[in-house]
Amino acid sequence: MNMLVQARGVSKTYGSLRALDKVDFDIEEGRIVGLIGPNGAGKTTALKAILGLTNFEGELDVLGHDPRISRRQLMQDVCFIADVATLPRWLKVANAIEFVEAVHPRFSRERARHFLERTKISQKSKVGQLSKGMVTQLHLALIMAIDAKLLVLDEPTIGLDILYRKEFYSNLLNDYFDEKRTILITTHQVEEIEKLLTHLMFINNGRIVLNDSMEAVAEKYAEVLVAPDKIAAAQALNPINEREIFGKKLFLFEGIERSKLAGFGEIHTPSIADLFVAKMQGAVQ
Amino acid sequence: MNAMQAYSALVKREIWEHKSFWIVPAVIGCLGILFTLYGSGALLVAAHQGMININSDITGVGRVEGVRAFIFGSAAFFNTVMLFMVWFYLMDTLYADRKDRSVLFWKSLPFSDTSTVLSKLFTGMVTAPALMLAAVIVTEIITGILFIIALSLVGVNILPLVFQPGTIILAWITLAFALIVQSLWLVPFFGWFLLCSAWAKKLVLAWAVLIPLGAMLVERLFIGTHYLSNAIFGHLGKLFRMVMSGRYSVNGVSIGPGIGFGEKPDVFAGHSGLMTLGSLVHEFAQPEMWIGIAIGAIFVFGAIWLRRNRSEI
Repeated sequence: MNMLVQARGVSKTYGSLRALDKVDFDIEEGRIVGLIGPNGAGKTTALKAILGLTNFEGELDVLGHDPRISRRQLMQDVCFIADVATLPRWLKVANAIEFVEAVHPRFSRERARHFLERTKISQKSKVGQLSKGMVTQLHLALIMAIDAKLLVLDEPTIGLDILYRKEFYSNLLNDYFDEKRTILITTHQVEEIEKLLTHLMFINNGRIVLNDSMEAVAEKYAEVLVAPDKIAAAQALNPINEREIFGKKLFLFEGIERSKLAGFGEIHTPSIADLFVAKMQGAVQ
Repeated sequence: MNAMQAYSALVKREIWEHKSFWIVPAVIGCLGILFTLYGSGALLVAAHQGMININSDITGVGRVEGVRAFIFGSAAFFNTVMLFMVWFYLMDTLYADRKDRSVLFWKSLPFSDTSTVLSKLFTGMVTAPALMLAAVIVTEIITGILFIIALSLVGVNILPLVFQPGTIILAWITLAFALIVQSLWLVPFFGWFLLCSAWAKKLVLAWAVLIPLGAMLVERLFIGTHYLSNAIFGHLGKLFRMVMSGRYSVNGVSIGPGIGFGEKPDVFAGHSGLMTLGSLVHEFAQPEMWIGIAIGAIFVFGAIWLRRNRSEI
């Protein structure tokens, strides 16, 4: 396996705030990694460090480059969409294509045109005349036309309606992703990317609190809805979270074999959102 | 794919964004042509009514200087407006894309922050003057022809006097060279504006103006010297003597009268003091120009450093 990103002891402080606290992680080729965390947890700082947009302490290798010093070389193999609507409003669609083609050696005008043909975006329009959803379509078309190794998405669909959000991810999966590509994505809308991810990373207070493949998550974590009479027995197994639902209790267990839980009730794999809440509350306690 | 292609795309990008660099000179040119039409009409009416008597006794070297004075003089207004546009452009350019966050799009593409900043400096130093020069030349050709036609209609044929292709083309080349010299004189100012643009979180104009003013004031009040204000205004003074009036100075001593600086131009006397290629070369002998360029380079490096390390407001 090819390692695209290797972070060792990466730290970043803003004044007294430790946005990243000696973080270690790896990202291998062919993965779709979800980086999930509450506001101010250090997600965006981690992405910025990978993209060469911020300074930091520690070691970070992205495709063989130190992003602090070689952002230009790095951007030949790395693409990113940081938030919606970072395309400048004055830019014409045709000019955007012309510009990216001139500066990016791996950009294919044909691919960009192919993606844009499926939308209602006219080459003559200015970005400022497009709707928010169309700007995102345009940005994604430009990015997908680049033959990059790593794509970084920071809240790529925030503020878009459900149709555009669905389309965004289906385009990404069907027309872009393959075993040679790697996607790192942060979003608050975790439900939408749940089915997409191969790997999951939780970050809180500048630390990585979970870093596993989705299969490992499914093995390690289990959610059981327990009837009142068995609550005490279930609690004895140290669930990491409990919630009340219709008089029953929903427990979330970490690292307990499913055979031991079978007696309490029906076992599910928790959703990312529930796991996230459990992990974040655990961190608070 | 090569570096030149990427760089020219960066330069083109600035024109896409700042269309005013060609629209404003074009509008000024159109206005100039309208005024010439109006003036020609007025001249025809006045001549028809016998109110003026035109004497075409223009001879000798004065003819050449008259043509050159027309070419440099009509460029002066274009130039003044262009300099203001470049000033505001440079203050805005590294600030606006941080403000609207489009810096994040630009930074997702493989070109360096150095190329970004240099492409913007290039736009101020070369692209904007070049577009202005193109508008000046077109305007001068049209207004010149209108002038010749109008005068010929009142019975004065100045065509043999003013039709000196060699002189005209040389004057345009001189003007182009003067614009390059002007840009070189302005490097420290351009660098400063870029630095402020890359640094400020808001109110770029206030910082760009108040910091030097404050520094001058501090120097005057607490140290009692005027080195900074002398340097800044001395620098600007040289520039204005040279370009605004189409005149030149040698070793700081200005030669000949200038337009709009008190004295009337004596363009028909043969020693008008209008700039020539030779006089412009003397500008390079002034150490102040090189000191300014060195200081400007430091500011530009600062702007590049900030651009690399401070991408968001």
